[in-house]
Amino acid sequence: MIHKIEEPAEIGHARTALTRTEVQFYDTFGFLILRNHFTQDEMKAISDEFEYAVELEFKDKPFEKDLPTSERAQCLSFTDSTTPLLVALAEDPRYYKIAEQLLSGEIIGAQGGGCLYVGDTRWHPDRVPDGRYKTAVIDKPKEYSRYSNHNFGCKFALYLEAVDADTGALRVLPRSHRQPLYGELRKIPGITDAENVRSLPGFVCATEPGDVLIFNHSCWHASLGGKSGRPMIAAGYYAYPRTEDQAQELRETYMHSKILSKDYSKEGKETEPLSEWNQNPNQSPLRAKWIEYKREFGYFDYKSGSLEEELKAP
Amino acid sequence: MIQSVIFPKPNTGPRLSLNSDELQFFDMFGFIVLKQFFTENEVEKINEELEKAKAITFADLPFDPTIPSSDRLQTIQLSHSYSPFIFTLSEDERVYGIAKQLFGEELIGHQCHASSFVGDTRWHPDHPPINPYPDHRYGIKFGFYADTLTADTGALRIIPRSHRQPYYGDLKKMPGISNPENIEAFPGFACESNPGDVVLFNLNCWHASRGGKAGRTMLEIVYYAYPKSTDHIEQMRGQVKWSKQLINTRTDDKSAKPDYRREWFLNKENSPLRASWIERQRKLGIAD
Repeated sequence: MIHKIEEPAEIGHARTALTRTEVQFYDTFGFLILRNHFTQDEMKAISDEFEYAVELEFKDKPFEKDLPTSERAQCLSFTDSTTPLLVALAEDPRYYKIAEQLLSGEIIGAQGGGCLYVGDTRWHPDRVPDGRYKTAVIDKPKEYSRYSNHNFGCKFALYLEAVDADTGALRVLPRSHRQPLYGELRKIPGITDAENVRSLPGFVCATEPGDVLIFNHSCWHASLGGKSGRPMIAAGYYAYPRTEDQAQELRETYMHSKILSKDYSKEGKETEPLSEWNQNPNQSPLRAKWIEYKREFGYFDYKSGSLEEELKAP
Repeated sequence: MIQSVIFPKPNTGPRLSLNSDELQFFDMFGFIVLKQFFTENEVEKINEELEKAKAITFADLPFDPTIPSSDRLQTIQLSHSYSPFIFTLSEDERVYGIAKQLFGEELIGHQCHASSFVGDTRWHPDHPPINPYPDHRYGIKFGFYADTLTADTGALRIIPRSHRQPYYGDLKKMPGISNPENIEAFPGFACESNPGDVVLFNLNCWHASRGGKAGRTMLEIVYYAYPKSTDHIEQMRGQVKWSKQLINTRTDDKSAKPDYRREWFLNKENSPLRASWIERQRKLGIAD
C-alpha cells in the first residue's frame, strides 16, 4: 500500500521527496537506491570530514583492522563542534523529509553515525529480536507483537566508496520487510550464521559515492567481502508510534540500542544517551522535537530513574 | 508452510526428490537452482541431440539471430527418432519425481520444449495477464541451458518470493514492469548456471533475462497440479488458450512448424505415464 504520494519538484541532487513510483518501489521491495543524491563536491566534503572524525576517534586507540564488526563495531562520534556536516545529515531535508514521506507522517530522528566495517555482515533486520529485553524500563511487560508495523522505521546508508557484490555492498532480501516472509525468516535456524550469507537470494545494492540507499528497518540485509575498514554513514528514523504495540516496540528498541552502544563501546559504558547530539548545542528545533519524542518513549530512562537524574546525583 | 529448516547446501548428483531444506527454500522463495542435476555424460547426450535437432529444424529455414524471441519463437523440433533422451525427459523419474513430490501423483505433465532464444526477456510470470492469481502451487517449470550463463549473459533472473500473494499482485501493479528497458530496474536474483544445472521455479514467479547471446538454447519442462475446483479448471483452460495465442502471435510464415506435440501425443512408445497425462488433459479439455 502506498501511504503518501508527493511528487518531487525535480529529480536531482536537491530533492526532498520521492516520486510516486519510488514510493511504490520502496513499499513493494523494502528498499530503494537514490542515485547521485549527493553531488561529488558534497561527497568530497563529507569524505574529508569523515577522515577527520576517524583521526579523532582513533587517536588514542588505533583502529583494529582485524577485529570483526560482529565482535565490536568501530564507530565514530559525530559532533556539532567537530564534524558539523556529518552531524547535520540526519536533519538534512533530503533525508528527513523523505523519511517523513516513507513513514507516513511524524517521525523520530536520531543522531547519524559512521562506522568502519570489518568482515562480512550476517543476515539480520534492524529490529529487536523477540523478547530479548524485559527489564524495569518496560514497566508492564506483556505479550505484544514484535512486528507492530512493517513501516516501523527506515535507514539511510551512504557509502563513501564504490561497493559491489564482492566488496561489501549491502545485500537485501526484497520484500522481507513484510509479513509473513519477515517472520518466516526469523524462524530459520542458522539464518544469522556467518557462512549463510551466500545461501539466501539477496539482491546486491551496488552503489557509487553520492548514492544513498534507503531500506526499511524490517528488511533483512547482509554484506559480503568488503575490505577491512570500509566506511559507511547511516541515519535512522522511526515512525512516531500510533498504537501501544508500536510504542512498546520503540521502547524496547531504544533499550536495545543503548545496550548495544555499551557492548560496542571501547570502555564498556552505556554512552549513547550522553552524546553531544542529545544536548542539542545549537538549539535545532527539529532535533529538539525528536529529543522530546525520545524522552517520551524511554530513551533517557535509566535503571531506576532517568539518566539525567542519575548524572545529577552526587 | 514448512517449518523445519536449515539451508540447502549444494546437493549434487542423482536424486528423485528435493530434501527438506530444498523444499523449504523452494516454498519460501519460489525457485531453486539444482546444481549438477544432470551428469556430464547426460549433458553430452543432450548437446548431441540438440545439435541434431537444430540441424533438422533449421535445415530449410536457417536460424535467424536478428529476430527477437518476443517477435518470433525459433522453436527446436524434437523427436523420439533423433532426440530420444530429451523427448522423454519429462518422464524421467528424477524430473517427474520432484513434480510428484510437489503436486502428488495426479499431476499433468507435458513434453520437453527447446528453443533458441534471441534478445532479452521482460519481467513476467508464466500466466495469462488477464487470469486471476492462481493458487501458489499451480505449476512448475524445470529450465536448463546448453551454455554457462551469468547475470549479464542471459541467466534466468527471478524475483524471489514473487510466486505468493499479495506480492505477485503488487508486482503486476508496478508501472512499466514489463517494459524491456526495465529488466535491470527490478531486484531480480540471477540464477547463474552451468550445463547440467537445473533451475526449478514456480510458474507464478516473476522472471526475466538479460544479455544472452543470440541462439542460446533453453530447455523447459512444465508440470501442473491437477485442478480440483471449477475455477482452477477454468484457469488451466485459459492458460492453454493463452499459450496457443502466444505461439500463434510469435509464429509467421517463416517460422519452423514443429509437430513434435503431435508425436508426443501419439505416444508411439506406449509410455503409461505419458498416457495418463494425456488422458487427464483430454478429460479437462486442454489436450493440445
